[in-house]
Amino acid sequence: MSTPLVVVAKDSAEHKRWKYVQWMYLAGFLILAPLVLEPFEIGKMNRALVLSVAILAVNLVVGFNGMLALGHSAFMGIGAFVTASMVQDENWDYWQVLPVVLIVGFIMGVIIGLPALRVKGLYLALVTIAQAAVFPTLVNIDELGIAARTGGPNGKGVSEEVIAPGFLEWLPGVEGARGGSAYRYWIIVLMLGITLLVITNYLRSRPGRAVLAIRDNEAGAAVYGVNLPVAKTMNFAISASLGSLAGLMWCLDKGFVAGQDFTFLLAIDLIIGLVLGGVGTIQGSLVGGLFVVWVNDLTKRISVPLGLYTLNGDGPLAKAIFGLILILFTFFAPGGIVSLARLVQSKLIKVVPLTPSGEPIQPLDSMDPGMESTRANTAMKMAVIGPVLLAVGWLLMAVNSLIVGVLAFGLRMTILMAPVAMLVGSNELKAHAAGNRPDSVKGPASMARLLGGLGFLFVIAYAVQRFALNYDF
Amino acid sequence: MAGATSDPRLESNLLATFFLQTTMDLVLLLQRVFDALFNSAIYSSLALALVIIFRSTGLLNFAQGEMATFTAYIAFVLLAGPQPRLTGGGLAGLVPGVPFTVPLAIVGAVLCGMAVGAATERVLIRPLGGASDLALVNITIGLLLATNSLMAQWWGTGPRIFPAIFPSGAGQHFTILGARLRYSTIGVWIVLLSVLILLILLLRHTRVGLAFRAVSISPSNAELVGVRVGPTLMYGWAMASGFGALAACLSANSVLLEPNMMLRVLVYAFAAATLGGLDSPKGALVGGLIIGLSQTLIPAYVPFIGFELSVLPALLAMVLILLIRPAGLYGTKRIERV
Repeated sequence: MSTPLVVVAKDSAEHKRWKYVQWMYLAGFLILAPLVLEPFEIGKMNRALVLSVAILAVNLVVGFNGMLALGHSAFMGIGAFVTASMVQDENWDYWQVLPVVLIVGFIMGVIIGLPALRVKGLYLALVTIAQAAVFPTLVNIDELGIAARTGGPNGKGVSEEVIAPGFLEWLPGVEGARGGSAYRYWIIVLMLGITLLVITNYLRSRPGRAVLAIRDNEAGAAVYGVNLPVAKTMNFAISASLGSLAGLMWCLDKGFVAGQDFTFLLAIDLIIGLVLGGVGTIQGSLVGGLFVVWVNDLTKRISVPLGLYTLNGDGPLAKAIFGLILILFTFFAPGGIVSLARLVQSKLIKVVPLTPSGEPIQPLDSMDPGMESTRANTAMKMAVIGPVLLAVGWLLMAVNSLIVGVLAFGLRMTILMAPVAMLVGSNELKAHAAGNRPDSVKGPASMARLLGGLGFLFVIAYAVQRFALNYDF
Repeated sequence: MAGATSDPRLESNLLATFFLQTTMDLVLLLQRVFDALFNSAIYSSLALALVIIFRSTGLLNFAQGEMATFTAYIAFVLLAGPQPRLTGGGLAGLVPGVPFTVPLAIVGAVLCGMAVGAATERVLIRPLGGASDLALVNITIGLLLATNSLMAQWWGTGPRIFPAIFPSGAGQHFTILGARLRYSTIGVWIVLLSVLILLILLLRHTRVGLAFRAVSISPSNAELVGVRVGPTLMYGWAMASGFGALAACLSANSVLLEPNMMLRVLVYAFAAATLGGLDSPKGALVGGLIIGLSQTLIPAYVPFIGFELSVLPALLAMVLILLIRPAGLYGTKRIERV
């Protein structure tokens, strides 16, 4: 598997097909999540997506600007408390609070960023940790009416319920038992999507590129005319504003905020998500948020009997596992999950860039050594493994209903591998027709195309069936 | 109104009240200072541990407090043996009940802490080589989480009473100008200062100390003249963790032994180390004193800041000193070469 399974020219029809598949996966994941998951699981999903926004905020400073700022839990807290106070005490709507929260976060970012960014490296880490450590106590101050606004040590509940208005009830999952949490899920997804769009464009803009330049070489950036203090402070303020947005989403999702939610431990969670997802990548922030919540959930199910007592993941052990994962990732995968995913992707597909005249830089034939290709066989194996696992799982289920796991695993394998196998199979067949492959390729390749295509149809049918179940067609 | 002030009897009375008030205030002030001295010593010793590691390895050890708490638990196990409360499984059940005395248990804990520190350097820090700051911070944060929750797993989260090393009963104090100076405060300072003097002697008059100073100034040059950098850094970590262990064992009696015991102390120790200069042992001592005093005195005299906010002045002091003089009070200025 040293050569990638598929070699495509950039922007060719085939490359576009790959991209469509990726987008379909994303859309399928987003749309199916509120239909398949239980309400409390949607709640976890919401929490993960909120954390993703917060991790993106940290990433903006740590990953893209190379500044060790570890205190974004405080910005989240500010956003959450402003939201709770405005919605509960002043009867504002969440959408009305949104600009206020963004502006307050921005101003707080400027106030804290201006002095904090004068110090560098670990010193900045110290200042921001101080900020994270002091925030939960600041909430309890009686003076200036702060405690009255924030609810002090008791926290503040928001009684306004977030329910879908009538014209939005067609959203997947919103109707029925999942109602509230599914509607919040869609709001959060919308906010997350807009945030991703804005941040991606920001990083491609002039100030964004200045920020990246500062990370890569501060002195060099200054020489090229970047105004270091302005660029750094603006970036920090945007990040703080984003952190406050995460706070708003937190409040919207939970309906309750307390100072104890925004301690240094939350800041550590954000750092863990950042490192696990991938420092300095947009996708990394998304993955990191999902991972933090998901791993926490998984570790809670651990229960290993060890002689006299059982090792329960439910208690304090969860944090130990997080610590261990953090250390292991720092050692063995410093680029996070995104770097691992890219490694896998580089085995699957290679995109050859184009020259200005539109030809691939390297001829595709040189990537494609021709007669001795083993891709068809690999693709066939990939196409076969999912259905085989499904069948085995189905048989085992008849014997013992405990082995549903195999079935589920087979389903997931099919979902993941079917389109890849289909694309590779049809690719190899095309190469055979062009005379670049021996006849022995033809069998496995058509097998892979057939099984992969069936698997893909099955996946689509599965999605349609979930929809039909939900909407009583 | 005029009559009231002109009355001589009343005036003398007022004067007496004023004097009484002033002396009482002074005694109260002295008492508060004495009380603060104990905490200052703890902050100073943990700050010293941070400083030693920052000087040699150039990283902030966020796990310093947790490693120290761990050794305090070791001392507790050495003292108490496999008590029924402690046998929940895990390490505690394995240690036979040896009749240690308190000082002996603390010495054992400090030795254990030094071993843990050396092992951490060897296993977790050295293989990373010259990794980024973020990677090093991640390692120590991971260590913090892992140690903290493993302690909670083994020994439970409930607080435990750690025996006092110095007499700290009701009547056991000197009375100076009406204020009480506890024996334990004096004892802690004697221990701290004597260990500090030992450290200075070690650094100034032994080969290992010379090697350590050389490595902390420039590792690459030290290596060129034949100093073995790795083992020297390991000794540095051992020394630092020993200091941390001492801090934890000495304070465990007053703050009650529990897994999160040193988290709060660590924040103060960071503030103290930053205040004094992250690379200056003298600065750590002075910084610890300032932080300890401000933590007790400022909430007492500034009505706005309640005792639950006592962390605020320390952190503000830290931020301010970083802005005005980033190297700290006694630290050396860093010169950046482009």
